[in-house]
Amino acid sequence: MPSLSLRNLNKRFGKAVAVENLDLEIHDGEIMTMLGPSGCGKTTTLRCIAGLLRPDSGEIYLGDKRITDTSPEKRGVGLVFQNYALWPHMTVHQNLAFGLQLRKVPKEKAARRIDEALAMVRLSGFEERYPRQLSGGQQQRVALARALVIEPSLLLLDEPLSNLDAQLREEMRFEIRELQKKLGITSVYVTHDQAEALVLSDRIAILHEGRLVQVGTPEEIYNQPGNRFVAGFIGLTSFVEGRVASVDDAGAYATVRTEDNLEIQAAASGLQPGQKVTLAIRPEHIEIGEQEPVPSVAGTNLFQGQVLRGAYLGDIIDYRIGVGNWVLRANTPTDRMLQPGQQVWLSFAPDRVTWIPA
Amino acid sequence: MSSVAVGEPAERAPGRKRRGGREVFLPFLLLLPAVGLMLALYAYPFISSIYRSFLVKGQGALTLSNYVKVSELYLRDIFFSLEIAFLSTAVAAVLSILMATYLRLGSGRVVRLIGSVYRLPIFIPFVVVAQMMTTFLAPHGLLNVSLAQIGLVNLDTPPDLLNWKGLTFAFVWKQWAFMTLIVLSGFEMIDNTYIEAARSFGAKLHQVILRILVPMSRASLSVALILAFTSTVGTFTLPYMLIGGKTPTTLTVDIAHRVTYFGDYGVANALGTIAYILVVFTAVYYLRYTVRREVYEQ
Repeated sequence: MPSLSLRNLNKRFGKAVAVENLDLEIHDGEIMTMLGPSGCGKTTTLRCIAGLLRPDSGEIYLGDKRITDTSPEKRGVGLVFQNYALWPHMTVHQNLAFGLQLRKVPKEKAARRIDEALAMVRLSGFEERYPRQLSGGQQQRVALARALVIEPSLLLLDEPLSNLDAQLREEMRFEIRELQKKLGITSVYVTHDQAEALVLSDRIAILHEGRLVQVGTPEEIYNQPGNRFVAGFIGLTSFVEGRVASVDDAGAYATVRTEDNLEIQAAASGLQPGQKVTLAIRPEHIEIGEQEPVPSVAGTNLFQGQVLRGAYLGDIIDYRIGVGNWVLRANTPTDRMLQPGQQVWLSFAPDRVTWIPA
Repeated sequence: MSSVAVGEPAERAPGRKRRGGREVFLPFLLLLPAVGLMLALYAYPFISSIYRSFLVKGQGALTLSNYVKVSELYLRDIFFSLEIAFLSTAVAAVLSILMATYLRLGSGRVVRLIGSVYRLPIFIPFVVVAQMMTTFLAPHGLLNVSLAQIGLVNLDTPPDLLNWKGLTFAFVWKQWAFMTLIVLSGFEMIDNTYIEAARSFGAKLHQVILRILVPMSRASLSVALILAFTSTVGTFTLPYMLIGGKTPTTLTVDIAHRVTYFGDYGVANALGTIAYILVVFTAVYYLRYTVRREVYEQ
């Protein structure tokens, strides 16, 4: 399967910038998720790749072939839509046969490929049903089979799970991932759902206001966010701003001092004394104690704070805890209930503190 | 102490009240004026005209002699009416599909301009259209003169357009905009993704029209076809002013002719009944289609 290359892609709608100077490489056989909030340009980019929109400038390459000006029907791209876009007047079989008929695939061969595609999405026997006779999940699987049956060189998925209920959505994430890996088809997946992106992707491209802000594996994006937007968009994060007070002799750890004189140890890689930084701390990396740990663990950040409020989330309780002028979020299991106003001790390892240039 | 009255159910579902006579009849009373008007202004004349088509002046008994006369004198005109209605509706349908596709898929100023002016013929009455067409299609009218300018027509022997050709042209001109309006409303209801999905699979424009747009807006298209067809069959002014008493002519002209010159309401009613029959097939198709569609939607 060919790789996909977007080079300096730009697209405007009137005065509004939808995509700006976008450079992105999607490797052969990879599933890349474009993740971002509404209006970040991810769907516009996908539509440019599919040929449904023409970029104002920039290039799109599929393998070595420049497809920027190629009409959609000649790109060999399989497209799965958010609303499935199954033609309601056609049966499942007819929906799948459409692309094959246009490619003049002989009837017998087409029938075999349709059978294989439906088997792949576990919908054998549904050939004569109309889309209205299928559940949302089944419709989505037909849409996937329809995109795959033409054996596209690139699979594009535009928020394909967003119309499904939460449980089905979770199941389908794994199914799509499994299918994509089995076929080894280069894929671009658009979503605003971070959990979906983390589960599905080989790599994630984060878009914000039409610009690409970070590309990386799910682990990289989650653990080493490149800026405050990424840190805030992926998972829950507490931010603390300060200035680097000192860096140890080995250059491994730095002490960051806030305006209200809190001192936080963080992994130092690349930090210089005097540098202004924002520290990002994930709630799941913070331990909450109701008493001061004795003896305190050397090298661990330890602060006293006051519970401001808690939110019961089913599997955990998400607390907001005031520490100095800052509010940190931390989680406990649901069997540990803390009361607003209660004094607690927060501890977290310096390695778990990510710094972002302020 | 409680008691149960004889004849009343011993138990009643909670929350359900027995409906009094007033409550039962009130909906019917409210419907009465509308139903009454329909019966008086539509059903009575309709049934009466069918009934009278079996009567002959001076004879009391029901007879088929009006229909015999129709078959002897007007059979050609019945087919002519049908041919004109089918042809003009079909041509207008094709043009309206093309126009609606252009307006649905196109963008830009020209599309917006055409989108706002194409509706104009809808607001022009048939009599005005007839007057326009009489001038436009006359032997030395604007069309022939224009064609003569480019050497396609010899004005010494201009082609006669005030016949089925002119009538079809006039009906198409008049119905096209109306049909486009209805077809376009159907096309507008189709989400872009259905069209984009087809295009991404390799569908060319004609395949998008024939395999996606038209089948997905069958209901609108059927309404447009049926309304245009029935209106064409029932129009009097246009054929009367364009081709008048020439042979063949349309049923409506024949009806007017029968009444005006012979005072023969029996044959006129028989012709009217035949016109009903011609359009009733389309109504039956439409009702069957909508019933099937309702089942299909469930």
